[in-house]
Amino acid sequence: MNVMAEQMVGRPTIMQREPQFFGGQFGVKGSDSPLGWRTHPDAVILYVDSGHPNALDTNDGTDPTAPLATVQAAVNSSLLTPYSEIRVSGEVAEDVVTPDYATGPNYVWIRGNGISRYSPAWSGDDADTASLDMRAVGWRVSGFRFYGKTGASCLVLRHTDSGANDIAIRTVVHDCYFDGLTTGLRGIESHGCYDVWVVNCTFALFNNVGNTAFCMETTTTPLAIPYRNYILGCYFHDSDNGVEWSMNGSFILGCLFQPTGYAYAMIQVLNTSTVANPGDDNIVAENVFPGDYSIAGGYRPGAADAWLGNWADDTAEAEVGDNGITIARPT
Amino acid sequence: MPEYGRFEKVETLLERVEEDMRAAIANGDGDAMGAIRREKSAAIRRILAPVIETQEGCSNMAELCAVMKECSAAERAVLTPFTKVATDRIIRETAGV
Repeated sequence: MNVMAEQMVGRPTIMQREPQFFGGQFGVKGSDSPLGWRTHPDAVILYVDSGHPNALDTNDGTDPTAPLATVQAAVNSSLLTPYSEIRVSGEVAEDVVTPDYATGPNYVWIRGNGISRYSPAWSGDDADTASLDMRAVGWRVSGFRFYGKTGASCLVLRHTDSGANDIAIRTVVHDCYFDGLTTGLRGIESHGCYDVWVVNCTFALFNNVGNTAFCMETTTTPLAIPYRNYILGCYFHDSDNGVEWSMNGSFILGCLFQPTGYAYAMIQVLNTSTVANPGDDNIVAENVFPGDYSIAGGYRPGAADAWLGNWADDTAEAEVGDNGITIARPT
Repeated sequence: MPEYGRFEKVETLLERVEEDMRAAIANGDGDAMGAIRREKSAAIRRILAPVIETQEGCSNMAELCAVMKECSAAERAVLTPFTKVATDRIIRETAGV
C-alpha cells in the first residue's frame, strides 16, 4: 500500500521522504557543459578563490571546486570572451590590469561573489599601484570592498594616458565599498573616460597628512575630460575631500555628501570643474549638500552647470531657496 | 541675449560665460541662463570646427591622441562630445565594439 492509500484508511504511517534530488551543477566536472555555466553561448563564468585549497592558476577556472587563484589569471584567460563573468571569492591581494580595448575582451563582469559590498575584500598588493587598472571597454565591477592605498587609487579608469588603446569607457562600477582605512589616497580615479556609471557605492575614510585624499578624482586627461558620466546614489563621507570629478554633460543624482564627518572634514566637497580640467554643462540634482553652499565652501561648479533641486541647509545663499532647495549652481 | 560671435579662443569665451552666468544667477533669470548655454555651445562649435573636422579623419586612437595633444586643456574639455563621437567610431571600426 502506498503512503497516500495508508493515510486514506487512517492507519498510522511513518513520514516518508522522497530521495533528495541533486540537479546537475553546471561548472562542476561531469556536467553536460565542458565549459561550465555560461552567461552566453560562448561566454563562460570563471571562478577565482584565493583561499580555496584547490585554487591554482593552471586550472581553467570553470569549475568552482577547482578555481583560479588570482583575478589576473582569469583576466588573462583565453576562455574569457565578451559577456563573460569572473566570480571572485576570497580576498584579492593582487593588483590587476585589464587588457586594452583592442586586445580585449571588452564587456566583462568582475563580480565579488559575496552577499554584500563588505566582502570579498580587494586589498591589492603594492601601495603605489592601483588595485584595479581598467583599460578595456564596458567592463563591470561589483560587490567588492576595496581597501585604500597610501600612494594609489583603488580603481583607475584609463583613457589613453597609459597607451593609445587604453580606453575604459562604458565602465560600470556598482555596489562597492571604497574603504580608505584612514590612510587611503583615492577611491576611483578617471583619466577622462566617457559613459561611465558609478552607482550605489560608498566611500569613506580617505585621508592623508597633506589632506590630498579624494573619494573620486579626475586626474590627468590627455584626450578628454569625462563626458556623460553618471554618479548615482553614492555616499561620500568622512574624508579629506569628496568628489573632484571634472566633467562635461554629466549627471550627479541622489548622492549624499558629508562635509564634516566623524573623523575628517572635507576641503572640497563636490567639484565638477577645476582650472586644469574645466568641466561644464553638468546636471546636479537631488543630492544632499550640508554646510556652506558656495565655492569657498567646497562646492565648485562648471560655468553653465545646472545644480537644481538639491537639498542644502545654507538658506542664506541666494542659490538656495528658503525651503532648502537649490535653484542654481553655487558661486 | 549673449553675443559670443566675436570670441576666437575657448578660454576667453568661458571667462565671459562665467561672468554672464553669475549675473544671470544674481538676477534669478532662468531665460538668460538657457540663452547663455545655447550661445556658448554654438560658439564652441564655431571656434573648434577645424579640430572637429580633423578628428573625423582619424583612423586610430594614436592619431586622435596626437590631434588632442595640440589642444589646450580648455579646448580638450569643451570638445568632449566630439571626441566621444570620434572615439566611438574608431573602436567600432577597429574592434567592433
